[in-house]
Amino acid sequence: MISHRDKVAVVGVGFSRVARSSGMTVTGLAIESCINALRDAGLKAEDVNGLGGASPPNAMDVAEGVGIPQMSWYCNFAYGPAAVTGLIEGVSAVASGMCDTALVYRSIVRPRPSKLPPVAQAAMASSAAMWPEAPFRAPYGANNILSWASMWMRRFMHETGVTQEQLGNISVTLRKHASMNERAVMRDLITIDDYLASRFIAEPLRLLDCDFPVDGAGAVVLVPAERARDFPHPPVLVAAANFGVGPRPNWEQWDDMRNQASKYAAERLWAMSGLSPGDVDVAGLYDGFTYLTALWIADLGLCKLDELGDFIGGDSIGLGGKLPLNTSGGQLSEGRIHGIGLINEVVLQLRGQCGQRQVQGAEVGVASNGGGPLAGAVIFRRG
Amino acid sequence: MAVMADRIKPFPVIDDDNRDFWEGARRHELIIKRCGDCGFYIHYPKPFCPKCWSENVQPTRVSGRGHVFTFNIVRQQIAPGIPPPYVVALVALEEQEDVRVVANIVECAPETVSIGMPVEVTFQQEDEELTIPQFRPAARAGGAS
Ligand SMILES: [Zn+2]
Repeated sequence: MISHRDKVAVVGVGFSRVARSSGMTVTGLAIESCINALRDAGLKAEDVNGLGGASPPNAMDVAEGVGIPQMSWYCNFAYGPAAVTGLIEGVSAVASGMCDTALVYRSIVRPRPSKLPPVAQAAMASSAAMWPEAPFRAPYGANNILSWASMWMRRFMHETGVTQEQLGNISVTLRKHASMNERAVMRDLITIDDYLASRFIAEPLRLLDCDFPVDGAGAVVLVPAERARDFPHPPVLVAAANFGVGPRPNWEQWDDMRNQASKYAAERLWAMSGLSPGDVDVAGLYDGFTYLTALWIADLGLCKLDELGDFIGGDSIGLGGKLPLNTSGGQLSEGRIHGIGLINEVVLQLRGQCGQRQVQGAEVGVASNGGGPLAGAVIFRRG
Repeated sequence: MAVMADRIKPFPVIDDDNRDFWEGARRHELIIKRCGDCGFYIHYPKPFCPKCWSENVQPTRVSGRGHVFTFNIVRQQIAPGIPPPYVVALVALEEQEDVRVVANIVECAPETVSIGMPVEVTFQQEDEELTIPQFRPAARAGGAS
């Protein structure tokens, strides 16, 4: 097997401002996060020759805004497992020699009120151009991830026996972590009673099972590992990175909860990395919805499926526990910057730069994004 | 009754792949594409059979019977023109368990819906041009989980 193990290093991470309302465009936020990641790496715009991320924005606009004079690799992807998509594409670009220094980003803004007439909005919401399944969900008030996620959360609890209280402990624990993170938008502690009292969005999914929309962006600088020592911060190596995509493209037509894309992602990942789940010191697992985080823990082999409820319901996922989880507070506290916050936090942990919430001696970390039909994960290790 | 130009609720935008399903609904028939060679039901519809690559894919009327594979109870407005509460379910069809039709479960209280509950198709007219399949508790006994 051709290997990318340890061939690419993360030498810079950065964030834009992250806020409920930033007053910035999706392009502006992407530029800000890229500039901050380059500052972190001690690089200038002309040192970069690769740039990619989810579109919008257009990578070429971001490149212009950052001042990158030319690129031999770029990517605008339409749909993927959140921010890890850009990271995986960037790793393959650097590992293959398509570019020497890559910047990858994820930028996202809260939905703005549409100015289209209602019928045009209704049609747009259910056009099959990008989503062949959209017309089949539209007239049922189901063309919304909240609807799919809540149905799958119910099925997940039905198949695994994991309880709402145990899922709620993810929200409670992560908020405790967020109280130590100045980046987090929500930093007030919550209790399990707060969780259980939070309103149902779509039963069994509660408000506190969900991340929340913000404006924000994050970026990562990638270089070949042999250059990784030439930068201001301790390098972090990509031990393995890949997607997991199963046989069905959407959230409805899927066989069962034990065969989600997160499981497919994990299989190749560990083989490539030369590491094993027992090596993981810190994890940043997708928490757009609590049950997805729980599923990632099991699918990555960080806990057995039949022990999952007790594992997430107790101290194991806290700082000082067996698997310090989403030490930034995750998206449940930082807001929906679509996984880039989880990735950057794992990198910062492995650099030993997380202050009060630092996991002492962290050497191996795993970050994952997505779930359901599409997933991606990365194993990082200290260089 | 309203026509398309008045629509606020999301509605299906018809294309070459999904037309048979929605035209079937106007006739009060639940239509799923099926491979004429190997018998595989293909939902969401595509022009080739993924099992045998046959192009002999035919719109096929199915029984409309199935069971609730999973469901939610939407409690907050997430789609214009569709007031909560309502149930969204994945209905696993009797003909092929992994064909899951998205629909609301109607003609019963949301709290009475459960995983495995047997359901049957019914048809709901939205306007002059659009009728949508829905599901309601089945008259018969039985089911699966
Ligand atoms: Zn066939």
